Amino acid sequence: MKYLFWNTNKQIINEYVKELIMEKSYDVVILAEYNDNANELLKELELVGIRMYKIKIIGCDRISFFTKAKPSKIKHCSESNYYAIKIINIDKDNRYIIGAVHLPSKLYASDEDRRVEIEDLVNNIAALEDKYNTKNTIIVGDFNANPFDGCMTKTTGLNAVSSEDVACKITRVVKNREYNMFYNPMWNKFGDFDGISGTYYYSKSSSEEIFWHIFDQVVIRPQNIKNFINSSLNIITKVNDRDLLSEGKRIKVSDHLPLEFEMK
Amino acid sequence: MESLWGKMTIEKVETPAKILEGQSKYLEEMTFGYAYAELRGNKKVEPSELGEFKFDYLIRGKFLEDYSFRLFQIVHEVDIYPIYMLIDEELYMEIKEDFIHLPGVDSSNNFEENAEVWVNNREIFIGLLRLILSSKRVQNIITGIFSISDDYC
Repeated sequence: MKYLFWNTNKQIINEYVKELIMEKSYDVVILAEYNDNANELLKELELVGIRMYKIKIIGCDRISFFTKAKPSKIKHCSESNYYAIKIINIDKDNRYIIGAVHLPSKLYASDEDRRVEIEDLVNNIAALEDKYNTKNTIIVGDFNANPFDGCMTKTTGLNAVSSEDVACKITRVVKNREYNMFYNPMWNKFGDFDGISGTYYYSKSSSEEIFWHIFDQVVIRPQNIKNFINSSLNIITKVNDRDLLSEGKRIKVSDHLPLEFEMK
Repeated sequence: MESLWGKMTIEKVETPAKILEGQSKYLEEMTFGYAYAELRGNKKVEPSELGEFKFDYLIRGKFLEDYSFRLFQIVHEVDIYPIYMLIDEELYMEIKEDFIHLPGVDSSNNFEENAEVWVNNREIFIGLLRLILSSKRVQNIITGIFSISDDYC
């Protein structure tokens, strides 16, 4: 299953999304701050032979969810203003729990605010994992946090670690409480050896600033690592021949870069 | 020996949980069970300095077994008031102005950051609950539950 996530910053962006879907043939497309016309996007895709569906979300306007799977294959699970959980039922024994998030901005909310939201999301996901006896779980979206921020790493947050080895211990016990872990492959995207150093650029006039942030992330359960194709994890900087970066390496079109990955 | 307990008058206090359970019944009746509200005790979280009783108030759908939307969370101590409430942010933005004007609400005392409020007594709790449950946001969520439920029926 191929996934695309993009915070589209309320831009008119269908042309880019359509070209990405045509080029990469994603199975699941999750957009944050998507204000373009979804019906037109679906019609345009249909014209080139790609049938996708917009999956209903009741209480979270910040996220839009498109799949190649028919709506009848989708189970609607818990939502908040900041996340929506869906289960895609491929067949009786094969289902994926997908948490799509767009957490509150750093401008208006603290790391603790995001942690509280993540705690609620993780509790709901854990209940679904228990009920359906699966760890085929991914959480993807704009966390408005870096992989090293507390809400991402704390046991009472996402408890997401950078190392497969550590994640494969499955749980951490702190003060006699057991916490399930996530693996966060996004740590591998820091630095510029692979081209771009993050998904979001921000420069404020303070003495501490890392400029390139990785707010857009995917995390997976360690039991699911074997299905994650490392080489497929990519911060997209070009759509066909069109650059999503200016010559000065600043993000254009949206203020975030898209993220893609594939699960076997 | 005579009783040393004094003249004891035991006032029966209606807890927030009881009030919310009562409102849940109304919703179920009004929607013929399609949508219902659930009070979920949150046992998995760390003990909170805000209080030892912690509940989420969720809207759910009869035909959407795994769906829930958390309208708010309440936390309180044994002596109930003040109650801490963390409200869905969009809902909070809708009702904030009306909440400020409820009798007894002091804007300097009742507000934390973002969508968090402190409720000092039962009267304010009922007033706030009325604003929440009759809000457009809640109406939209219930309508959404009906709309998706229709796809499954």
